[in-house]
Amino acid sequence: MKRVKVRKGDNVYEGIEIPSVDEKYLVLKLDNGYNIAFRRNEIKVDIIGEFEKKSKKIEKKEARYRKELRDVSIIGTGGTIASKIDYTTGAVYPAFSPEELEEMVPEIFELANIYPREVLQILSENMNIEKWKRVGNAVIEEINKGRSIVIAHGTDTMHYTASFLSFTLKNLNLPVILTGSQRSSDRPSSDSRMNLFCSVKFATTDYNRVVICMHGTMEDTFCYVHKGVKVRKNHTSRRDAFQSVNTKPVAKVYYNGKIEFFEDLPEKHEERVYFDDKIEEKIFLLKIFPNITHEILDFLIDQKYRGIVLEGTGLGHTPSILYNTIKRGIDEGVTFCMTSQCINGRVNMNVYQTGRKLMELGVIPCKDMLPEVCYTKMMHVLGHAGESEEIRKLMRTNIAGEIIEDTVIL
Amino acid sequence: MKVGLEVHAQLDTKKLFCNCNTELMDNPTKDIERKLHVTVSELEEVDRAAFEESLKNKKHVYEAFDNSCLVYLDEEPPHNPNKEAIETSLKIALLLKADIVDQIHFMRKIVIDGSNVSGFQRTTIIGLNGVIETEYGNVKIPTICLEEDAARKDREKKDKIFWKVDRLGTPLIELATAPTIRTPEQGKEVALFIGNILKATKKLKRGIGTIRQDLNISIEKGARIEIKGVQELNMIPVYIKEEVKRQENLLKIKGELQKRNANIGDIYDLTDLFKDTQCKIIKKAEKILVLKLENFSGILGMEIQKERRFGSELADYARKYVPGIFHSDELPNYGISEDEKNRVLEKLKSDSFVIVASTNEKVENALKEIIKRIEIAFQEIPEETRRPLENGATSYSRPLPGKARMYPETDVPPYNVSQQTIEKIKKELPELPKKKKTRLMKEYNLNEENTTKIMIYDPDFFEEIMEKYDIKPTIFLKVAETYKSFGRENLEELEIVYDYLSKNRLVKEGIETVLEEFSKGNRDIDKIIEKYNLRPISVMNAEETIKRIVQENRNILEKKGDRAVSALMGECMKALRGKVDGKLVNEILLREIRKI
Repeated sequence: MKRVKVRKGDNVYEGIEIPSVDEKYLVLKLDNGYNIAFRRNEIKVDIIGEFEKKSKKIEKKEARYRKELRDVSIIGTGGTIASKIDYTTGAVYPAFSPEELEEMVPEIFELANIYPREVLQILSENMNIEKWKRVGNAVIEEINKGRSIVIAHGTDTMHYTASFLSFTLKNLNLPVILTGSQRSSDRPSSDSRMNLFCSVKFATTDYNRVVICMHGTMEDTFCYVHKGVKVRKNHTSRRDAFQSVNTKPVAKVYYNGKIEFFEDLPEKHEERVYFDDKIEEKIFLLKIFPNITHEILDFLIDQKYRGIVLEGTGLGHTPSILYNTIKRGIDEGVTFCMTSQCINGRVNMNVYQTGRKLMELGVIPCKDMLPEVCYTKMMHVLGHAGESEEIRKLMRTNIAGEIIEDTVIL
Repeated sequence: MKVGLEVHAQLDTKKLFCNCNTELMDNPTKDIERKLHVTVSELEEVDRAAFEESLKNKKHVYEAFDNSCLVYLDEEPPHNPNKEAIETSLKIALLLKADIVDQIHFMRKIVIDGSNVSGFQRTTIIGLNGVIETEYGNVKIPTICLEEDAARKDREKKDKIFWKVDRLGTPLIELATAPTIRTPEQGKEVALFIGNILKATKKLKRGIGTIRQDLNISIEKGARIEIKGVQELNMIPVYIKEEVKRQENLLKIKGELQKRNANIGDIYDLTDLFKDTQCKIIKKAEKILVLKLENFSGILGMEIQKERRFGSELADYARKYVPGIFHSDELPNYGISEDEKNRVLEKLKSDSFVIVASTNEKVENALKEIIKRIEIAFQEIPEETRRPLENGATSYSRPLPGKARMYPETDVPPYNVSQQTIEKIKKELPELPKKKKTRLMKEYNLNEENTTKIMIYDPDFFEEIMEKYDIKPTIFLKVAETYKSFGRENLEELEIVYDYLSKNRLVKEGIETVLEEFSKGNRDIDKIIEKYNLRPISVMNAEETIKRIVQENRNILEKKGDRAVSALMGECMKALRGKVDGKLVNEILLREIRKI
């Protein structure tokens, strides 16, 4: 970056020229810290020097290993849970070396021996199957070293990833916790510190399942730990956006380190832990709405989609206009699963004629499964089973906690 | 001496980044507890002030209201900036003949005392290189900023600070003058001038605390000190004088310490020595630590500012951990006996000391702060932000914030200021104070002193009242200033008084009584006039006359009922014309008829 002198009329301003999104403007960072901008065609700019960014060297420290503490690997995938800000340009970039992490969240180093590992650097909306596989493989490598896992993840699709890993990480013997931040980590009020703290704390328990750990309320007092297959992002911006659906959270982790479990620890697995990467990629998630027409379904069938999750209305319905196309799909071997766009509650396709008709056609009612969970479960199930009866059975059988037979009053 | 002034004024619009109202409210309905953490800057050292605040490890409780929105709880990104606030600040920048930026870039300024829920304040430069013309010559205004006001601190309890979020996000205009103010009186004049220019936009909030002044003061060989939040303009010269005095005395202390070869000694745990003390604070304490000081006698107790000694400065530093300290220059006192003092001195083999009493952890931290402050005293005057006290002195609140604590607010896109917008606003610019003053003097035949007073008060309101009511400018001033002396500023209430005065329904001698009652919350002027008998004699006479006429015409009234009213009114006016306002006659008449 350049240090420049800008002349506008009688006034002269000096500062650092900041990259501008709009070419018509010159953005100048003044020495008092403010950015100002002028139309380029009305000013005269003189370069007076090069601006050297003083990059602060963080001292390399010997990682101090403490035998009495558990080992926790923090897997970075991007997002801003741990990131630094460039105070000149305002750009936020991930900070993931152990030194940088320790500088930013020193308190987690009191809870466990921390092993950061950066696997991806993406915004979570760009998450896809190939990247899920990289995360899954990295988790297994770290677990094989005896480390619990905390995955730092963008919040947009965190619940998809959690659900996917819930089905594909087999025989887990250590906790896998996904966490993120709703309010950017550059701000002093960011939720990232408490989320990371509570996640690492929970990683030192024996809850050997995939979970999401995020703020429990708008306050910095505790996080909720949610089952990876029973959780959803239910708010665009609030800290407590992630909520358990149709069930209670697994536990509450307070910012002082106290943990309160709402259920017993899951069973231990004796068999070897592995990542099951046999996946059917051609699965579609379709929301039903009042004026939907059959063409879209026909297109999906033509495109050789193998499974379609219907996010039906109410108890699990579609307009009757889709019946013929659904029948065509099923005849051609496409699996149709029914979930509800109500999010809360379970589908029941016996109550109305529509539901009964859809079941008659072969649509599988997926109980109290969330649409997003049903989507990742189908990827997993269709990656293995071929026979439609076997698929039906697996989709309706609880594999990773995604189905609860009775919806309790919460 | 160098003095610069920073003026903050609230704009009377919606909040800067959401559509919420900016009225202050009572009875919050929601509590939200948060913690703030320092962010480490890449460019510079961790901001000094920010770091200091984080040391306190406070929890912040934000008290919100039923209609508080998510933006100012930092639970939602900001909406687009309020257009009215931006245009008002452009107007102010243009009034100050400033160079307007072509594109507005909002920044995040790290503020970690908890007063901003997010931990930063959004701020932007609207204009640069403005100027105001004062009687003392031109004063430069290098920057004109638009920023968010902070939350209101409500109370502190143990490790928690409670804040009300109603004020947070109120648009605030910030003007900073160059440090070119040379005398204490000039400080006040400049503040006045700026206040008038701001008021001329008619978009300023009114009332206590809506305009706040910060003073930046330094003397040769001294340090830059910021006195934050001065509200009373008349106090500006006093704060300046007192600060100069403080710095001069601290320089004296520095010289004295060096000359005397003063020394900071060890820390002694003297919990046992005080086991039978009468001092309540010490009695309650878990641990009593004493810092030995050599050759400090007289220095700790030296007055450096009105009612403040060097010991007060030490106590300020320790206040993060303990409510107060004791030093040898003020003892015996506070229940600590002469004998106890002597035993401490004997034990330390020294001439002076500082006592800190509290819990184990707190005393040690408090002493560290005290030692830090004394060490500085040998070297220099520290750069500080200080809090104004009522008597004109100040107390330490935190180190002066460092520089690198600003970065772009990436959630708000740059806001283009087009030529058309500027041209449009230029056409709407109000009359500048200087011009207005000259015009008022001529138009209302005022003397210099009264014009100045009106300019300070509110020239627009003055003109509005003069147009509507038949009263003298001196009466306008008397009412307005009296009301201000009761600590209130409610234009509607003032207008009622002007109305009554102009209609001769209230004696001038009753102004103070009425306003005093108003300020106590009694708003019914008729009742007040009745209670204190504040009617002019003419009105009382009129009442007598009307009563008589009504009595005399009782028969007609009983026969004709309401149809008789106009006849009686004619009768009354015949008797009272020129003496009392007709409307008032009508009012009294109807009242008397109703009595029958």
